[in-house]
Amino acid sequence: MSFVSLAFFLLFITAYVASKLCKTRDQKHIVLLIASYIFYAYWDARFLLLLILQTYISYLLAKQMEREDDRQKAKRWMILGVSISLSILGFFKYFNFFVDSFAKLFGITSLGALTIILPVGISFYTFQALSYLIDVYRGKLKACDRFIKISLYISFFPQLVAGPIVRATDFLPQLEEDRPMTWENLVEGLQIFLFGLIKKIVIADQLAVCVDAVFASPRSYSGLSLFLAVVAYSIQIYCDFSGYSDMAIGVAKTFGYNLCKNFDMPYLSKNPTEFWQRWHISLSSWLRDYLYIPLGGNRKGKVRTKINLMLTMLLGGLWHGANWQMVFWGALHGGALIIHKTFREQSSLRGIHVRNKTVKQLASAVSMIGMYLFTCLCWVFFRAQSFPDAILILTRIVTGASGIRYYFVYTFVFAAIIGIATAIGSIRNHGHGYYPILNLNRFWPKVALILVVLLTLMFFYAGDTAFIYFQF
Amino acid sequence: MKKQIRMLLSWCAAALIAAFCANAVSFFYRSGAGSIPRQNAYSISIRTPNSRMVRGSEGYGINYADENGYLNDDDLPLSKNYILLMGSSHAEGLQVMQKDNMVSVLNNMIDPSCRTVYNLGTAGYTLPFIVEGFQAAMEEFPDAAAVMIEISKTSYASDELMDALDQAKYDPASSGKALMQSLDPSRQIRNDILSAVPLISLLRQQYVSMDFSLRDAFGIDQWIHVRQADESITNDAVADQDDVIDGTGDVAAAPSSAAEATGGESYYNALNQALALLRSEFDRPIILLYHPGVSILPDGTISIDRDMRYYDDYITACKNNDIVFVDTGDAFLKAYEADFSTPYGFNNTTLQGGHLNQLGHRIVAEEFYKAWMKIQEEEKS
Repeated sequence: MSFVSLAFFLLFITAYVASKLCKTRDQKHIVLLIASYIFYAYWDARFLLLLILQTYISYLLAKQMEREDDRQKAKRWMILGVSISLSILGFFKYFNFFVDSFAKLFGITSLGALTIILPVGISFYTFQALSYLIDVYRGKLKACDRFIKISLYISFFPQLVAGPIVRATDFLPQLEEDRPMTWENLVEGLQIFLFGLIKKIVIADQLAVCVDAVFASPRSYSGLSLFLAVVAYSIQIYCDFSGYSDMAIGVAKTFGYNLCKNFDMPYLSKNPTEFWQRWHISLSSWLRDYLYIPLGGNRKGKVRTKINLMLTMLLGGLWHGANWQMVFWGALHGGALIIHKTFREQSSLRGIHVRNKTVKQLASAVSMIGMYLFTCLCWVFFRAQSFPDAILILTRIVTGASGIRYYFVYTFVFAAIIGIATAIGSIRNHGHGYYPILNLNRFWPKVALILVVLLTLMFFYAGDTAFIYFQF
Repeated sequence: MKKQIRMLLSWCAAALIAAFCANAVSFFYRSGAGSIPRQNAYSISIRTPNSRMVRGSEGYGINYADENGYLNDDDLPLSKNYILLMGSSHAEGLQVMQKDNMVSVLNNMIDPSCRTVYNLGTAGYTLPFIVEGFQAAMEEFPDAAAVMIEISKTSYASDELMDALDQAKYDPASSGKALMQSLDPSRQIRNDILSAVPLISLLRQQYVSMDFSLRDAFGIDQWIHVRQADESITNDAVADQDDVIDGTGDVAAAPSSAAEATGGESYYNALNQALALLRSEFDRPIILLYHPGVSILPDGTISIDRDMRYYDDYITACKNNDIVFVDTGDAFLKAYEADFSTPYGFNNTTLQGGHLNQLGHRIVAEEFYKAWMKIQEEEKS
């Protein structure tokens, strides 16, 4: 079920009213769990069983882990749980990729491929299950005594299929509290939802028209048109994914729960490290805490730190999609992180510090533009239909190749809107994003809200509304 | 209670102000009263006469409907020997500014001091509709010196063309002027409201384009489709096997839908009859212009998507009935080869899809002009 559908509207209203009528916390959890399972099963009811199975395995193994006094035995249970979760993810998402890559590597014509449907949101809920198991093992969290709680944590419908990837340590404690469904929460949550909805159906979907056309036939378009399409894609993917996160955060808020921030004006980043602190924050922090640090992080010397960074980003790329393009995309980001880290080490070693304020500001602006262009370069590999297509696009952009001149109007319009919004956010909140919540007790905010709703209805794109990150 | 009423009033006032602002935006994006339905005339509907239309969702155009309800710029006088241009929404040209549509460009080419070509372009008017309304058009515009017909599609069922032979009879009470005078008050009020509040039309259009169905719920519909597809594959395999076993060769007796769709004799006969009817009703020059679709190919070239199933039928039927057939495909290709210009699509939609753009209108106008000049020269000699 997509947030942008009548089905979701009906489910939300029903779940909200039912939750509001609940007298106890447990009743509310049951209502939310049923709503979450309906939400998930709406795509394909068969995969609900997989979700329940994964939840149940995590529930059982976490309890088993907690029962063990012997740390080694507990570790074995944890490894078993992680292995099962990763095997399920591996089978559904990576089986054909690995078989195909193996066949190509050894020159085998075909090893055959299975027709496997990728269960929607499997990468997201698997990571949540993993974080629960590992946190219980690490002693950061007590194993859930009741199945319903872990079920609700893993399948809570606002974030189930496309994040944010919520940590058990953040969410489970909220289930232990009475979370009020107040009027203020509803108003705030719906405004955040609207904010995300605009990003998705007005901006991202409209830009998809241009992006899809150009990336389908890159040889036909001029270098400048291709460059503008890449810019359009950078806005599209940001608005699509952060829009979904905003909607998830908004919906959760109406039920009284807080989900973590997932985006923080990423295109303001001045370097790759900062970019990953602002883009898909829940994934990058997950990878940091459950992959990079266990690999040794920066505790095992400079070379090992860089290898760990690269490994983390390669796996991060693979998480996004089972193909070599995604791995390469991860490698590009990994490489950039290593270069940035080396640059910082060298500057610190040589005592290079810019003190002049004007030079500092200029350097910041240049870094920001440079980082944005680098991100766009990476997006080409992320979005192109094939590796040769990505190379072709970059070549045509660099050489200023001639071709169809397609300067999509909305690229300029939305780039200006995002630019202005980012500038306002940057000034008002010291370079960080925030939700512009309107105080509806006053008159003009009411006018502004209704006007925004009307403009959304006037200008939303009524075509395809699939979220990009559903495929991951 | 008082507080609640005050709150309610405050929301209503806010809604009014917001709607006013949104409506102001609509005037620049999509405005202009809709169509007026009618019978016994060339077209089954006309635009509200003497109204202004703005369309910004595909291209951008500001256009005016004249007193007859067709999109014509009536700044200049209509020539005595005018040409009627019949066609679809492409000819109507809501997606470009009025000065850039094929009729305006053509008028400029033929004689910039007056209007020689009169636009009867109507959204949705394909050849069968044009044939059906042709006689009525001739009666409504009896002084026409020539007729130009714009078509972008050639695939119709033979029945559609045959049905079109039963033409509409013209009733002067159906003209734009008469309709406006006799418009019932409720329709008048509706038109006035829609003209003043374009926001309504815009929201209605958005609402219509939304998908409220729940058919894909729980993957059941998809599952049924997969099952049905599997069953049909199995059945086809069984049928193929039977053919081999029987060896009767009777499979051709039950034509596939693809075979049915190809031209064939019945299609040609229907087309020929339709064009013969036009010729019998109008003994002056008729030009039929076909502008095929264009596709961008992955190798960076374009292909002209002529529907070859019917193409020769059109050429032969036009020749039989002394109608000049023009195909803009080569001109489209030439324009692309010159500087990658494309005749369809806009910078706010996609290129090569949708309606003719400014360049497309110009190319069509040039092709019409060439054909018209050739006819003039032939008449002189």
